[in-house]
Amino acid sequence: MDNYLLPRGVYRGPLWKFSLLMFPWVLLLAWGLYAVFLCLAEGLNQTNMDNRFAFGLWIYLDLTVIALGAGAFSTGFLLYILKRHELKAVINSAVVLGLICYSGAVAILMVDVGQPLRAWFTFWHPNTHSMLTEVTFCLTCYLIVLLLEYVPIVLKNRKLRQIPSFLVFEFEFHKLMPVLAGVGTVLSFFHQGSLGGLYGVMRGRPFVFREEIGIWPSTFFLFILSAIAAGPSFLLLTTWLVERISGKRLVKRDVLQFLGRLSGILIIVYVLFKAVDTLIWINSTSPASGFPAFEYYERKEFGTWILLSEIILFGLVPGLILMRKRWRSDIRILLGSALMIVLGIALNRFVLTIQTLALPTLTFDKFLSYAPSWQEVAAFAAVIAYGVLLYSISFRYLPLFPQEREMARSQEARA
Amino acid sequence: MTPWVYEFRWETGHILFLLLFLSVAITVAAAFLAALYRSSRDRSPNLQNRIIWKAIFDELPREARSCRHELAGEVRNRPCPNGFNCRTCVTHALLLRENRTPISEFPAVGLEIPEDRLYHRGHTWIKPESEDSVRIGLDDLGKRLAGSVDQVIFPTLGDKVEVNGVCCTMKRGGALARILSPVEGTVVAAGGSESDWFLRVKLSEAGKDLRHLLTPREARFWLLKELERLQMCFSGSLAGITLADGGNLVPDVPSAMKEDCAMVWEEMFLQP
Repeated sequence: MDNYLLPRGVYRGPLWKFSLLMFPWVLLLAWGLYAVFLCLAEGLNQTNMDNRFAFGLWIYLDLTVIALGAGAFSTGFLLYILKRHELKAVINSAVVLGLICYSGAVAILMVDVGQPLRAWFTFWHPNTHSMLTEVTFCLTCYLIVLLLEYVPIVLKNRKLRQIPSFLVFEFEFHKLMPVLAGVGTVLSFFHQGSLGGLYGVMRGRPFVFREEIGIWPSTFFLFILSAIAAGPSFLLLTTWLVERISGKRLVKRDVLQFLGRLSGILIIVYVLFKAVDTLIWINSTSPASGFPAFEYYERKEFGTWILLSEIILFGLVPGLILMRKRWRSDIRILLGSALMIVLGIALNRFVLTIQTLALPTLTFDKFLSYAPSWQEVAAFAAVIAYGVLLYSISFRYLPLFPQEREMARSQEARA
Repeated sequence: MTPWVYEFRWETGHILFLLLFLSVAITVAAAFLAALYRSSRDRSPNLQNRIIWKAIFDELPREARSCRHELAGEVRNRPCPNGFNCRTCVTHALLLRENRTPISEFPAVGLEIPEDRLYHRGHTWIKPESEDSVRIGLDDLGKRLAGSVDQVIFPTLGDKVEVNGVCCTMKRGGALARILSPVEGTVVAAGGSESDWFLRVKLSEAGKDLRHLLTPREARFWLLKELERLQMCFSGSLAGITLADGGNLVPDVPSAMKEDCAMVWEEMFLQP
């Protein structure tokens, strides 16, 4: 029925089957949108957050998806600026993933702020002393950049390509991609960093407060490093997942291995900096604020296991594995390591968002616990459902993987 | 931070931040506007045709981009880097001078390849009729792929056509194929039936250079590759039950297909 819209030379299942697969995600999205409506209409009392636990599931989701979406800018930078042409095979998918992650994060932020109609206040009355100002400006700009980068991919649709003026625009716009990739890198650098810096400047929370390097706390740089390390791993995992679901090879194995190697090198660099930062914090920063660092790990829920898991199990171990060619040649080891890196970054964002707020800092403080309300979970699920829907529709109608056609042909030729 | 905010005072930080933010915003807007401006500048048919051809050529699979010398067995593994424009290709000139020994045996293609014509990769041929005029038609494979078309839309007499630009359009059901012109010149006649149409073109000065077209010998090797490509098109669900090889191609390929021929036409007639 929709054959005339499908990319040429590749096979896609019938429309009814596709619609059936998408239906549960549409339901999930609808449930989430209802929860969002409740939060906007009734207020943030629909959530389990309060003045003490002001950051919850939503901010955790924001920080994690923004880190995972970093694959878009790092892949764009490597392809268009450093000319690593092998990444052409995944750049379209990276842009769609980035767009999903960033638009999802911005949407959930709008709900979290509680009054989306006043979102423009942040631009009109910005607070220059807040890291969030930098985050808001850069995030908005980068989302616009991602939308612009998505336009040429949409124009590659089989039917749209047949309109000469669209094809010419796509051709001309594509020539300017290095400019957008450069701008995207600058913007991502600053907003990833400022999201980390946001925690590092909190003097009232010695668990996350860090010394400054130049004008930024060390968490500024750690966030950038961890995001660019996790981005390629997430891209690798999604590519493999789409291959499994669609039942076809989409990229050559050496592209996946390159992503794995890149992620491995970057995570090792991150682990080194993180280890040094943690040692300085344990021996100097935290005691200087009157808190021996190990006091934070006295509670069973957040024992030292969480710190060690973050740095060693989900950082050093997969990093070392991905550095060895022989190991990363095994697809199971490659995927396992990439998954560990992604989980490690998710754990890091959890520690910074949830553990930070749960730990008491004043003598009369208690250990706080927080569990999200169903409205928070539903809104979270809506972002996931939106991502699955947008990605699936893009995969069905747009050439997200340029090597897919060639690989299908060589598979046919072999058969 | 901004001047309209109560008790605002400018500081270096404000200026630096706003400058950085504005320069980023201006760069993004300028990139988008530049693309819009450039694409409006490219609206002339010549430029548009060249861009469309470049887009088509860049997306061609490797097996459809083989250099004519690779097809004829004179060199190994040489994809064309020039958009099939052998007029300016240094390697083509060099190989012609070297006069390498090609494969001596001609493959059996099962298609008519008249010796008095030159062939274009968009499945058209030209047959010189006088010093500056040629006749254009579909090659045998092109004719079989088209079958009995519903309509052929010819250019108006006096229209100019250029290499790899559109010289006419064929319609069959919902499928549409822009047939690419093999030469530059002015259309002086058009006619024939839907299944056997022709164009007569008076060549321009540049159009008299026909080095980019395949000789009948080269066309034989190329058409063999094209048949393989066609077979690939059918590998999905397009054509019911088919034999992998053996026998000749039916005279009306679309009539033997389960679905409309749009996908096959787009692939074989080099559509964007």
